[in-house]
Amino acid sequence: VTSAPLPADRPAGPALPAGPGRPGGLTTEQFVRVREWVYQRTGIQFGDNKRYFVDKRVLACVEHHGGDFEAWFASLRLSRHAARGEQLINELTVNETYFLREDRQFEALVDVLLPQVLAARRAAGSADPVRILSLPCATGEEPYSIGLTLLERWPQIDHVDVEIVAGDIDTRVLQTARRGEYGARSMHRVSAAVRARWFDRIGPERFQVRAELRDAVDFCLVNVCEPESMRPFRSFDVIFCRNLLIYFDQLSGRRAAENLFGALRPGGHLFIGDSESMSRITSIFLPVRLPNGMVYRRPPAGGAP
Amino acid sequence: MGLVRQHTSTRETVRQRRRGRDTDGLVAALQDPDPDVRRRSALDLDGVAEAIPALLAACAEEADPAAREALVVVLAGHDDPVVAAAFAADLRAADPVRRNTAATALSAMPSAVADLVEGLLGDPDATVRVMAMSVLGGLERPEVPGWLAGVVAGDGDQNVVTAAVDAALAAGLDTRPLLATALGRFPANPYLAFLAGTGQSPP
Repeated sequence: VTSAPLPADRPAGPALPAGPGRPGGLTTEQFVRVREWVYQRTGIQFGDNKRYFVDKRVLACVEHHGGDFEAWFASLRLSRHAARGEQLINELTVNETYFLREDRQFEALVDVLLPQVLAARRAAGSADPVRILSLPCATGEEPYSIGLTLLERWPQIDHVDVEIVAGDIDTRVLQTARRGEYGARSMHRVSAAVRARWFDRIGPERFQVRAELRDAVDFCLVNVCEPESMRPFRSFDVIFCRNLLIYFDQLSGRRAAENLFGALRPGGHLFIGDSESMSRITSIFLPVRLPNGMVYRRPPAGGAP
Repeated sequence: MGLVRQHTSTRETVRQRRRGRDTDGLVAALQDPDPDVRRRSALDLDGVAEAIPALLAACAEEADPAAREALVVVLAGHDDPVVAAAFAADLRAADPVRRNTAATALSAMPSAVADLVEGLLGDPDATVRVMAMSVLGGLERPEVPGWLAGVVAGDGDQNVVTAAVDAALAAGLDTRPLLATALGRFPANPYLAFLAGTGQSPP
């Protein structure tokens, strides 16, 4: 059962002019049908201004499966052709990132949040590992950056266990993430010293994350809008979910926020992108000001901040 | 000590969670003393139409913000007249969070809300009419441009009219004719003048 926030009989999206659409692109009717299908499965809504972006990627999928739009679209609904839907979602989700992006948040993790987590563990007499979730992890730069930051900047890593779990809706990027191979563009913020310690050079301007770090990150397929998909993700101390919520409409954003809330421990913290605001989506998190920005907290059990 | 990888715990969680998730048990759990149990039970009732009455009753009384949020997102998935009527009543709530939550939920119910629009637009309380504009701004119905144009041309309250123009912007409609009408009726309104000065139109 999909957790699609829209019923199946929802009318087609915002009004578009009737007609054949862009020359060489989808017709308006085709665009609306694809847009609706994607929305119902991912919560991601493409506005009319994304028409060119969507057309180009959909047509690539149609071509790949024989060139007949109707046959391709019909096959999206058949479970035996699940890979076609997966391919479309892979094409339409944007996976542009690099190591140590918005690294102020990684610094806040180490300098502010993890000391609080350890203090709470000590107070409770708990030896549970610290759990961190990176979602969407795209091609892996974010979860590996978290690992690198802990290994390079946090001496406590020698005394506690830390689990890093990474999730994405795109199967293709998960494969790339597990391989951990990157080019110069992804690596441009990684210092030579860190590169030497944690990467192997595998070609001209190509580097692979060393197995020690690569094997420490658990990569999983997940759809943040689906409660069933998110249900296994529990008891995280910190979640990074940056630059994703901006793609959702209001209700899908609330569903995603609700699922992230459920994935946190009471008292756990959620980082979102610098350009995003949780207060526009939901009021269930407590905003917390950090030296370099904001983080959102699931209220601790019992309600006391 | 250090970075460790452990994924058995998540699989355990799935197995545990799948036990005992019958509808009656989940409905009963909506009254559990633990708000997190109530929250998770609400989410487990996602898509279960026969649970709507119980979900609505719980939503009316739920004081825990997170449990209530779960009830709202699950209820908003039902484009249903009974659910829509309950959220429409919330548009006049004193609590702004409750009002805005209701507006978001109603925006996701294009079929059920259509029957309520006439009543909302004619409500004697201007605050309710302003909230109705928030609903229309996110509602995917072909009648939305006509509804907004009617409000801009006929509603006597400036705040409702400006909210209608805002809703048209949110819906990606061409606001220029609406702005012209609104400014013709309320030429001294500074917000409308500001919008006109920016040459607002859809992206």
